[in-house]
Amino acid sequence: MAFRPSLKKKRQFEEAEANITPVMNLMCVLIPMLLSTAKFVDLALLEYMPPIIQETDQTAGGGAGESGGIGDLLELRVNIAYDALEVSIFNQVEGENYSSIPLRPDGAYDFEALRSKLVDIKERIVGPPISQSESINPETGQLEVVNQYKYPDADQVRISAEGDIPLQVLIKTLDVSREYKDSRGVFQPLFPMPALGQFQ
Amino acid sequence: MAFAPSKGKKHLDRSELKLRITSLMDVMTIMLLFLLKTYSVSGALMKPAEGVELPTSTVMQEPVKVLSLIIAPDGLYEDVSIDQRRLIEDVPALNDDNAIDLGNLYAYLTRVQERNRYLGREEKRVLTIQGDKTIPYRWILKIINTCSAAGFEKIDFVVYKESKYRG
Repeated sequence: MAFRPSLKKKRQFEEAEANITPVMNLMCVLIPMLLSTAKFVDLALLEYMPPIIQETDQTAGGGAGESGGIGDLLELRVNIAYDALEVSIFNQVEGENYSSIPLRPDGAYDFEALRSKLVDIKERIVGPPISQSESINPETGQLEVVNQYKYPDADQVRISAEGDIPLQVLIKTLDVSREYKDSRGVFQPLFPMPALGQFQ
Repeated sequence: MAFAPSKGKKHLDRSELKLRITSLMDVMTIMLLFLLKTYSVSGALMKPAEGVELPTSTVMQEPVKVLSLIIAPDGLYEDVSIDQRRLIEDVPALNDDNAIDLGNLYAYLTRVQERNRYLGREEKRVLTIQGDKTIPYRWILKIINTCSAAGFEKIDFVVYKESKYRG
């Protein structure tokens, strides 16, 4: 005897459709709200702390040479000329104490070469820190480890430019001289205390 | 004579038409993700000044609202409010090679500090500069000199952030 066909078989399945209207409503509220709070332009601040002006100092910056005798200091200078970037170490009398980095073939300044030169000075001439000291940052109030180098002005660089050099070039030079990426890919301070001065 | 029925109408499906919003949902979802990425809780504390194209830098420090100066190609301005600025120094004064400092700027900065002291406000010796990327170095040096002489210990340049991890 054949079985009677199941009653369930007769049930018709309708195609189920998700009702996404409430989700759309939520989207319509969320998107204008997020549009109003979106930040399309990302601004930042590049800090510059002008050194204290002393009466004997002729330049605007004048921070590099006050803390001791000239013999103890590195006196690193970067000059932005119209046709080159010039790096000089005033206290270095032996070896290579001046180098001029010409413009690239496209007429732009060669900031990568400047970075390499400054890294070379930091690693070869300044060398590793000889000691470390702890001091409290007056701004944040937090304890910070400060590296002491062979030269007291090992963190400083005096930057000067010819009169018509645009601000973008100066900002780029400040960026390059502030930090570098070491072989492990970690950003290390290079010469983070710049002092702006007159072109010499 | 009656016309023969149209062949197009013959096959016309008269079932209920439904609006397909799946593709719209896709667009909305992508927009939502993009906007969530650019979402800022703090909001914009600073707006770039009109007519000033800021330089780019790899610094990461967030801007704060303090006393602000605008160096546009046509002069040095006081940033009064979002849509308002007041001229402090004009181009001839900024280009004058005989003067190291800027008289009007020095007077303005001194006045601001005196007003803050009078009102008992906390004395912040910080100011921000929104400088156009094309302005010459001699202007910058003069302005920094003057700010430093007026007792400002920190000068922050406002820049567009650019990734330092690139390249």
